[in-house]
Amino acid sequence: MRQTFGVRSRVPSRADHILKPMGKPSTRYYLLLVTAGAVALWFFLAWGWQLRYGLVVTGLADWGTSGGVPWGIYIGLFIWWVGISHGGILISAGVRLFKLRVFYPVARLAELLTIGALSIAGLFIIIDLGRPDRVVTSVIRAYATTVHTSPLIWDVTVITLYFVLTATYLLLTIRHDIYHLGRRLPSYFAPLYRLLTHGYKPEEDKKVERMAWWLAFAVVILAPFLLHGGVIPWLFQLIASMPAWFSPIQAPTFLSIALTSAFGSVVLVAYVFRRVYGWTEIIPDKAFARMGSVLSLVGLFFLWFQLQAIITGAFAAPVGLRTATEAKVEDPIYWTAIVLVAAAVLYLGAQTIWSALFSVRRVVIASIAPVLATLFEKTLFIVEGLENPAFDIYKAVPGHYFPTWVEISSIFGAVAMLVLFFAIAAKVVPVIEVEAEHEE
Amino acid sequence: MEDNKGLTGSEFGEEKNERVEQSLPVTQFDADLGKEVARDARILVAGGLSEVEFYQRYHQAYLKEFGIDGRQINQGEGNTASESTFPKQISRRTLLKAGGVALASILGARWLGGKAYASGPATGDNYDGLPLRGEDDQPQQNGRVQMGMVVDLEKCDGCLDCVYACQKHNFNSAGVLWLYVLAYRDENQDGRNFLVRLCQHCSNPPCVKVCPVRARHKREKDGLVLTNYSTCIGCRYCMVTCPYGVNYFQWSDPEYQNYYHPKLTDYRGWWVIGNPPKGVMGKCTFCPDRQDDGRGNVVCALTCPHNVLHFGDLNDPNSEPRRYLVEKTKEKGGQLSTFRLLENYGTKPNIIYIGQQPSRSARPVEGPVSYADWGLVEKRLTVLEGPEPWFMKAFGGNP
Amino acid sequence: MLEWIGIPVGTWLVFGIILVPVLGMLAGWFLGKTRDFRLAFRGLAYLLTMTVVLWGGLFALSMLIQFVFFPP
Repeated sequence: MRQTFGVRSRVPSRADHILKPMGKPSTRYYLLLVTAGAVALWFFLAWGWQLRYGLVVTGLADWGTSGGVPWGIYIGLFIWWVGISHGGILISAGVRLFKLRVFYPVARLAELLTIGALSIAGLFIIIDLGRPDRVVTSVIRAYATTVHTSPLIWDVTVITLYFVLTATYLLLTIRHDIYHLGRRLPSYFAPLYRLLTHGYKPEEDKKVERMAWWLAFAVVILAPFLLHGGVIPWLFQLIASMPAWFSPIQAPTFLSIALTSAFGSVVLVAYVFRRVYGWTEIIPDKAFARMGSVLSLVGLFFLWFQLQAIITGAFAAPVGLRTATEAKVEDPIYWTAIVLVAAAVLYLGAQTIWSALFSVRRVVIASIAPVLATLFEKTLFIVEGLENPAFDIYKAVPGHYFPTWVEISSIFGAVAMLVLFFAIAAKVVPVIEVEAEHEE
Repeated sequence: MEDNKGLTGSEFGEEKNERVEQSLPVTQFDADLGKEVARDARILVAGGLSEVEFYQRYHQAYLKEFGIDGRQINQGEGNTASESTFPKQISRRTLLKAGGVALASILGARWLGGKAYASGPATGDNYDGLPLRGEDDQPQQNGRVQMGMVVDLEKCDGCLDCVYACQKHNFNSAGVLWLYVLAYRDENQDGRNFLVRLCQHCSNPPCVKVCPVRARHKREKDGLVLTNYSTCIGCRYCMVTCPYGVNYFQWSDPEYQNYYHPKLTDYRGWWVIGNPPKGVMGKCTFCPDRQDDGRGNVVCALTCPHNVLHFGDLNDPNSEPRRYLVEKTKEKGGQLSTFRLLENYGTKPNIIYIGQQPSRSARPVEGPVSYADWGLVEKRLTVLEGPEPWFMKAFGGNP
Repeated sequence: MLEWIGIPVGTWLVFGIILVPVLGMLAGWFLGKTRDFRLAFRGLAYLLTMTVVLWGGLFALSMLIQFVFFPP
């Protein structure tokens, strides 16, 4: 059934709200594109500089006699962005599997965040490689052998699965929305809409719901327990010769902090859209209050796991772990991260219990803290682990690391790319689901 | 010739010279010429002889012995259009040096007997009563050749000859110390002690397990753990996982190209020899080119003036390192203190050290000879600096 | 690395744990009560297409990098 697109309707409705971002771009919008584009361009030039001269332009170096660390903020950023991507589909899964309807308004935004954040995370792996030009050929050629033994390949496998599952979820569930918005969508994207709704009949909705349920189920098992609480921490916790890393508790610790940055960033994205498009009824206050509550709970778990790590390393640990723990507790950046999360947990927990303390703005501010804290804490975890290896007899151990302008440019460049991603996606596809209530 | 950084005509000691003389195989070529060329080639590499002199000294002898002086090097592919800023004349010098070393070492190997490369099945798990200690007291790889080393730390005096030789042989950049000698003091040992740290070529190598592209692999033929420079994607996970810290990443274009061919391949045609290109990982290779052509030795062991390093097949009871262990045990009246480094990590390393293992209270100290004395950089971080764009100079450089 | 009945622990991990939710999902699509084979195959097609899009895009990027920065 062919849809024609581009004919405007006069009925003010939920659909009107949903279509608001897809209208003609304003000056503000173009300004945003140009600014974000400039920051992203700067980052690509910095990356080009790195490709030309090699990774020597970063602050990285070999550990051992050389006195450096081989992994730094690029890997920290990779983990950070994967963490941010967990918000997306977990919220959708929460809605579908556990009937948490309060999160329904932000579900599509969160799914888009997953796709954008995962892509950026993958980009950071490429950026960190010495020979990114070989990555596809070398990995695929050796996959049948390496999949049995290499934690990096397990990581690549699970990230691919997570990306593909989320993208499929989006593709399946967006068909309904595009079909029903039909003629009201901008006509210049008509070929894309036809492609997305290819073979669509309204009768398929119920069956797609069922398939989406299974997708959400697969992702809820895969993402928290096997990705950010699985293969990613395993990259570190399986290495006995790095005492700061070698512990079964890394998996739950990583998961807890991933969930803080995940929910925190969904709050931020949702707030930006709500402000810009006046969606106070579409994304109600209650959604922010509930997300704030979840954030305080996962933040609390994170602090609890940090306590385990510190107490184990400080009481009567073997020299390697003790040295690494000392380095951690003497680092002001570590305590900054902890204080940020603790402050957020305190406020968000308090507003859960005493709703008088709640305000959307306060929840948003409290969400920025754990998002930043994750980046600090994860980068520190990587760097301090490598600075304090078990084999510490070298003169040049403990090592030293500080990122250079190239690496710092990548932090802002990645955020700019996410902004561009959302700016463009919002113009092309509806970022709010069409149905006001989710039927199941 | 005492001023040539300690290299003398009898650097192996008179006793060893005699033993080697007796075991020289009968060849159709002049063994004395080979001996002299090999000796002077090492002096050339150490910088005590110019390549012009080296060439002229033996030119007539070559013509007389072989009918041809084949020390002409193909320069075509040696100077690639890479970012090396070396003017042509320096490259040629390096090539000539390298060519001299290569040819001389072929002759030298005949002089040295050339049979350190053991073949044949591994037998048993002990040598004259002393078990070959591994984590489980079993031979590291049943029935297979496993090249390794016995390192006699009691004889090491920290002269760093071996470190320098390895640096030059592999054309490594500044601070890339595939072989490293650490001086330390320890509570339970007297005075200053040394630890010679090189790749252990483990039998259960964590670096091989974690490599996502199998660039890092263990060669079937002789158990060498090598890096395929054509496949490596530079993720640096092998460096992260190695407990010993033997890996050196090529953070920028290497300072030197490998001698006379930029891509040195082993008998399988894999590029695993010499220093790696930009963006790829490197480490001690046990000199595969010297294994594949039958010389069966490694440059560091050849250079050591104090008989510290003994390279060979640890699974062969008749190999030089194992016979050395037997002899040394007899010398010590049946009690020999040996250890393997970081054994409890389960890597099954193939370097057997004679001496005391450094304890947790060991702290590094200055050796009798510093790396600077050899013109080497010890801490690579001090020289790892990329080019800075104009605006970074305005800020006073990178942090 | 430990093995169980001759299979390294990594193999068990990937095929026995990581892939299980995905296989479970596919079983639900194709064998579940309210199944629709057409849609199930559409879903499978989307999965495979997105895998190709992801790795193909990555391959294209790596080829661009090779062409510009690491010419043979």
